[in-house]
Amino acid sequence: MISTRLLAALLAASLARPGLAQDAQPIMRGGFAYSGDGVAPPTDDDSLYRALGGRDKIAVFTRDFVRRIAKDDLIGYFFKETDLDRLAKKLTDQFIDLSGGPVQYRGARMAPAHRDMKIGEADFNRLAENLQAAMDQADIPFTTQNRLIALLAPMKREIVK
Amino acid sequence: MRGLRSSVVILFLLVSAGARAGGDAWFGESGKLLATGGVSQVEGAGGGGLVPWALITGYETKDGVGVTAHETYLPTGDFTLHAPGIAVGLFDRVELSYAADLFTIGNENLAPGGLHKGYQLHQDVYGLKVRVLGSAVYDQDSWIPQIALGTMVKHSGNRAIDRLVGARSATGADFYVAATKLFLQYSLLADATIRFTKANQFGLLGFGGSSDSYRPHFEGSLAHLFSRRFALGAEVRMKPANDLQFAGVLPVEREESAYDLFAAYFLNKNLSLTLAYVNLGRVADVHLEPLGVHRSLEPHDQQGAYASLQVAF
Repeated sequence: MISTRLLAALLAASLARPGLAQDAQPIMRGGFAYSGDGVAPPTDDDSLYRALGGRDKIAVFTRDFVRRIAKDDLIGYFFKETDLDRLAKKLTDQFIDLSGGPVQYRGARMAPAHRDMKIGEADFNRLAENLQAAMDQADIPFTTQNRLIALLAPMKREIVK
Repeated sequence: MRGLRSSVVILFLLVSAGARAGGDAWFGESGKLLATGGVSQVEGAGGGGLVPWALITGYETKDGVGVTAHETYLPTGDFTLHAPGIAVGLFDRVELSYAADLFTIGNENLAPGGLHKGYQLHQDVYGLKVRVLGSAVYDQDSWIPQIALGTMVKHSGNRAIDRLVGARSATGADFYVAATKLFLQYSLLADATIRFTKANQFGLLGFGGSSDSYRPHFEGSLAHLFSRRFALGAEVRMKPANDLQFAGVLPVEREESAYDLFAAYFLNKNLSLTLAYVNLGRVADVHLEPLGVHRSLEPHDQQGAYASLQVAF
């Protein structure tokens, strides 16, 4: 009984909303407005950037990622007219910026950049699966991958129709 | 009836074995990320093993419909629980489910009431769940969990046993609110569910007893994701302790919380396997002392290995 009560207390604590401010200000980073009420890109912590292997390794898995999405059976058609080298460079900047690295993303904002593209939730997830595959290929541990994906997942609300 | 239901489930298993959903089709659309539909809990809802979660079952997104079928098997020392079921997820918003809970008695504990070894208790559980707000997966920049409201309507096929233990009704409904959150930056999934119920042993022993009112009971799950395919977790499910009396005279041991430790493996978006250690607490332990009988066995927890296979298509 004691153990079950302890577990219940832990669960309740894990679901509590620590220090939640109802008037949280949005945080604009990587071309996306984070709600400011939860996970947000770090400002003075580059641990995720370093865990991802720094600038060079991020550039490598991002190029692989872009190559994968461009030839994907289900979502490749979105990138037919896209300058893939430029896309890879912008995404590399974005990932470095979001992970707390020494680059500031100066690309398009997510909402206008994806407007009218009719991107579905399944398309968005397919893109995430390709990113996971590229990070697997680069031997980035699962838990580190999740820290980056946690910063990208909320973008669904500005990208998916 | 049991054979018929099992056959239906097996049929679905066979059909789905060859089914590989296309990305464009709305039916069987499999656009959700691996494991984010959860597995099937013992009453047929999308969740963990014991606890219904706020996640909608299946791999459909808001643009599609997904179906899952599952088969769960839990032999404890004295009982065997067998629970086949099927569920439909609609647009990642609504979940409809059906499960048959079949509970076979494997001891002579209830023999004084005519329930000998081999007697089977069963109930049908019809579930409805609606996601009301939040996204457990996408809203990573918010602490607000995904929240769903659900109900399970349960019909016991054992009027005899309901009367035998003093339950008020053979039919009942549970109502729950579930809050589920994926803490992706920690690779953790947490769920807290509050269920309003008066079911005795999930409803297998009917509803209500000397007390007959809805009370809230806490249920929770916590799981750590070790990879996209593999998670380890624990669950607890508190249950009502309606005082029951066997044959009107013999007090039945008060119901206890159930808990489990589980490992879930997601082979792909079509197949997942959950193995668990489950402890249901004491089940239908009857005090025979008023009859002048000293028990040959001490009352003990019903615990065992749990296996559940889920097919999604």
